[in-house]
Amino acid sequence: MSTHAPADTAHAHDDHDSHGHAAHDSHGHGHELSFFQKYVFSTDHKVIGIQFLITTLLMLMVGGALALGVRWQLAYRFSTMPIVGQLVFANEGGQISPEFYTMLFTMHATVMIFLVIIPILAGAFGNFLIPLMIGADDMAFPTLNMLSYWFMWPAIFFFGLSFFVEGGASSGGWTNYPPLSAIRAAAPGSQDGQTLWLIGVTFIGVSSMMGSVNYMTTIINMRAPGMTLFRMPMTIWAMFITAILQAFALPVLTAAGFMILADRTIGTCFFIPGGLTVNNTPTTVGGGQALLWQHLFWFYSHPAVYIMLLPAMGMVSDMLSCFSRKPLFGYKPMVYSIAAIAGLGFIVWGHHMFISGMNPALGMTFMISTMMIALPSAVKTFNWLGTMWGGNIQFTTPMINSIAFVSMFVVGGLSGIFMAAVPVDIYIHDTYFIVAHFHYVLFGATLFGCFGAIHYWFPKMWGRMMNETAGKIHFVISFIAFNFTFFPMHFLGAAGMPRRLADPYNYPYLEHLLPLNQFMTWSAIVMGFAQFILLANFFLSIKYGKRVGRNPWNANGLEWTAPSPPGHGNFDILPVVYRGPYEYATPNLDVDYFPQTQYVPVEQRVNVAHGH
Amino acid sequence: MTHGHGVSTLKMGVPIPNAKLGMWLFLGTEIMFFTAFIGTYIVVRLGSPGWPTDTHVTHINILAGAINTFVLICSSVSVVLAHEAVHQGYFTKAKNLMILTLVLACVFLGIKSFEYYGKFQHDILPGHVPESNQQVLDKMVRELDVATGLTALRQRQVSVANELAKETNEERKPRLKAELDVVNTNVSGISKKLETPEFNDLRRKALAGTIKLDDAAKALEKLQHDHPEFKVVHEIHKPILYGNLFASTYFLMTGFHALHVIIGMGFFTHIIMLGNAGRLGFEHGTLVENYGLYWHFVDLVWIFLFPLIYII
Amino acid sequence: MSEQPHAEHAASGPHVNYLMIFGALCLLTIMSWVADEVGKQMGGTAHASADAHAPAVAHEPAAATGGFNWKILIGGIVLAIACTKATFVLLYFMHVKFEGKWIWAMLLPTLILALAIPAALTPDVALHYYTVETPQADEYANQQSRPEHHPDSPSNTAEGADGKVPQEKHPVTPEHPAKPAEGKHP
Ligand code: HEM
Ligand SMILES: [Cu+2]
Repeated sequence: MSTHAPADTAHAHDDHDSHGHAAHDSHGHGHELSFFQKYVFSTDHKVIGIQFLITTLLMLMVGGALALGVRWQLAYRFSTMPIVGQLVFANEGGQISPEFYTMLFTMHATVMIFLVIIPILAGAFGNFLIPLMIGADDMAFPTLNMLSYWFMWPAIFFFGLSFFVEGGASSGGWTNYPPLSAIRAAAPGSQDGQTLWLIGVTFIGVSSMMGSVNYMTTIINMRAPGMTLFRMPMTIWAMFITAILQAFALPVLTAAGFMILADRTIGTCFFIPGGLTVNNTPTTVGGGQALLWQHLFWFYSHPAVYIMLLPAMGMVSDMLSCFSRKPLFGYKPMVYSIAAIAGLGFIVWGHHMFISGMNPALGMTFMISTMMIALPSAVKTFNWLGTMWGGNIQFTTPMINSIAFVSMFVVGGLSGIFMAAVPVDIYIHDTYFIVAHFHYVLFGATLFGCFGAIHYWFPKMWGRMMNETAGKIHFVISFIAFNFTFFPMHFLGAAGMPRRLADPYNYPYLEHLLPLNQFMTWSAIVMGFAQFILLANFFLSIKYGKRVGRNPWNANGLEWTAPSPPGHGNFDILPVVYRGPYEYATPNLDVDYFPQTQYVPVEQRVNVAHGH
Repeated sequence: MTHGHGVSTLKMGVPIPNAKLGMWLFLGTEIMFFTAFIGTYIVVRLGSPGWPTDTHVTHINILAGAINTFVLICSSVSVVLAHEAVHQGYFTKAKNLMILTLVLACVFLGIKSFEYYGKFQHDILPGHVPESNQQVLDKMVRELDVATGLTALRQRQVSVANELAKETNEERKPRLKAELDVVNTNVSGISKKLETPEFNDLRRKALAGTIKLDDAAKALEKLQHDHPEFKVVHEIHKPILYGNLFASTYFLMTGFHALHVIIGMGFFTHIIMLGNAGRLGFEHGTLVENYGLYWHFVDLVWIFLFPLIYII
Repeated sequence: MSEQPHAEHAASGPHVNYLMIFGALCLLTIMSWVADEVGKQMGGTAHASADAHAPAVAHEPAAATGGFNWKILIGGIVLAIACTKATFVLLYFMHVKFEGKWIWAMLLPTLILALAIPAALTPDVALHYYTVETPQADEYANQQSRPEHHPDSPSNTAEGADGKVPQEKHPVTPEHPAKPAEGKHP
């Protein structure tokens, strides 16, 4: 009745061995790769994934530094910044000018969204995990995959360059609303910095588009034998649906980006209304509509916020199930609710525009659809709780990060429902309440999910473990500091403090918020510096971490049957899948996990069925 | 890049090659891309009180559009026949059909550039179209000033003055001051030279808006006759309400379509080069099919652009 | 490379009479051209104003055509023709007809989304629930309604010199209608 140890079963199918090698050799270049081909312009999905991961971790620090600039100004307005002030803003006496403040928060959001969250989920984990988890030797289009990584760099370059052109970086907010973004004279940052911003985002768009076509093709067409759709891990489902979202929403933003770029450079007037005079420039002619941009932008960017969440949801589902040593509660409802979130995600974008002068009839529609999207979100939350309920929970670093994901997502999701109601949103729109909301979902949920995923799949990337203690210290500090930083933002929002304002205390009704803001700033500083623990742990563990075998967590997924780290072509033998990925604690087994590749001979299955 | 044309039976999925699936998915993203442009055009047009539809104003040539539609349909046929030929093993035929497709694409672009040329001639360009009588006159004055060189001098004047204001090095100031003086005299010099009564009269009245468009047109014509340097000034046409938005949508939609045509021509060249090298074979079936799919999509977009731009 | 048809491969691929599809597409193109010409004859509304001086001002739709809106009819017809043509290209040239079900799983959501965008934009961008302020349209109507606009009319002597356009708000009212189309038909 017992089966042999899972690690051995990976080798049990000699009949497939030849295919494994065939797949391997079909690349035809398995042997002598130069350093450049191997580590820089590599077409291996694992290398590309790790390239994405390291790049995004570095960008996380850049974005964090920009955020600390924002926080400094909110706590100690127009005072000399310690250390960096004299270096960066020497000609303003070490202070942040209001114009520079707007650039700071714009570029903070831009870096975090376009260079951290989206690429770390789809680029880093998507690339690394998809072929491994579905049992493929690589992505469907490896060259395209490589290009999708390298298209990120022009964007990084242009965003960086934009700080040094005349007028400075874009200051229109990451939402880039016209006329601020369409008319060069509107603000200092509306000059070349804005153009560079648009070019950079276009590059990111092309990069994501290449990635998503690749992921969809790979997941549809390159699954290992036996890996039916409903045997795919949640991570893969989430990546798949994210790729769909991206493929169908992103082109709209790309097109809108071209339109606004044309408005800025060749004199079109899609988004510039006629008869407008901005800062003494000649009156505009034409007759475009600024609101059109908001529609096109949010048509992409609301699905995009789910692009920034769904993969983390998938990865957390896998981790929760593994460390609860229990099957995922309600696998199919989980899949359907992700699909529902994605589907509904396409018809809720107007909730960002309640106060923009949108047609009230649309406001009603968007309010209802937004409230509906909370349903599948709630289904998922209950399923995660159900997964943990009664489980044999192991509080490893990935697990505690995943639990943080669930709880922080609840907070962020609930504030989302507040804002979805038009009457409430009229009051809290563009206040710090919004900032609290999206930081809870983006940092609290997604980023903690990513922290967990980094610790969880690190052994697969390098064959070594990350340090548990350091991981837990990092988690505790980040978690507490995160809540200290962002929870008070709900109060700020309720008190009516607008976001994107360089000097809120100019208004007497906000003066009393200064001490609270100072507290939040110090929490943010602690949180920022805590990330060095993660970086140190990550980079040191590559070299000094404890060596481990294929399956350190005793997990079920296909990736754990491959060597750690997997060689070129991933699997030493072509995996064959017999069951779903969540069969933990199966009765009548010696061990509490049951890998997807494990074959059970007929007699044993009969025995199991009879309960022997 | 493509994992071959054959489908590995050991994989789950749909029974088509990865490359073809990828191409279809890519076309899905392309549909959304053009939807954004076309959708924008539709709503912006419906939402604008007025739209230039007269072909004499917009310089849109329905016949040219129809011919271009025909050309693209022909090219779609030739590319699908090329695909069939590759499948049947007639590789020379396939190559020739590809050459035909390439030629048709060139014809399409030729006709398109002829249309663009008409728009450039009459300055129906985004941001250049005056939408009221005064804007017509202002535009004429602007162009007159460019023709006389006044605009350039004024810009120089401003930039030198700015430089002078910013300059902290006392030693360099006299040089800048001297330059400013030169520029200043030039500016007045130009006005002197051009102070023919007709020019002054036209410019003054146009600025004040106290001249009828027809009279302005006549005066301009006369001026251009006497002083050929004014030939660069565009002929005066009536204001075109929403002409800028029209030009914006027109150029972006057809421009991105033309860009896709150019990319498609690159694809065809690839196949032709393979054929010339004698390397075109059955293994390129999927490749030719994918290029074909792409090209049909380009045709498809045009099928919608034609009525939307040219007829409605 | 062999120029012999390969039995195995010759069998693959659907057999479509591409020339017939080609003929149908050409016919449909001609039909849309004809529809356009017919539209021009019937009240000239496909090109609402052959007269460059007075584009149709949507404040009064179909004002000049006496009720029946040919423009919409012709527009509908040519768009229907375009959809038919697109269907032909998709089904036969792009072989959608001969693919498996997966292609519909991909195409249908895309098409729905593609239709959803303009549909969702319409209430906001195409129809205005609020009063649109269109300075240029108002001014245009205003100017065209005074063909004998006096050279010294003060309303037109605004400071055009620095590129500013005079911004009077003259609503298009029945007293100041956009000038109807006149003559100059091609
Ligand atoms: C339960 C589901 C959710 C609901 C009901 C919801 C609702 C909303 C609403 C109504 C707004 C607009 C508020 C305003 O500007 O007045 C908003 C903003 C935002 N949401 Fe959510 N949301 C949800 C989940 C998420 C998730 C999962 C993410 C990202 C991972 C997210 C990211 C954002 C961001 C970034 C903004 C602010 C955009 C900006 O104005 O800069 N939301 N949300
Ligand atoms: Cu949203």
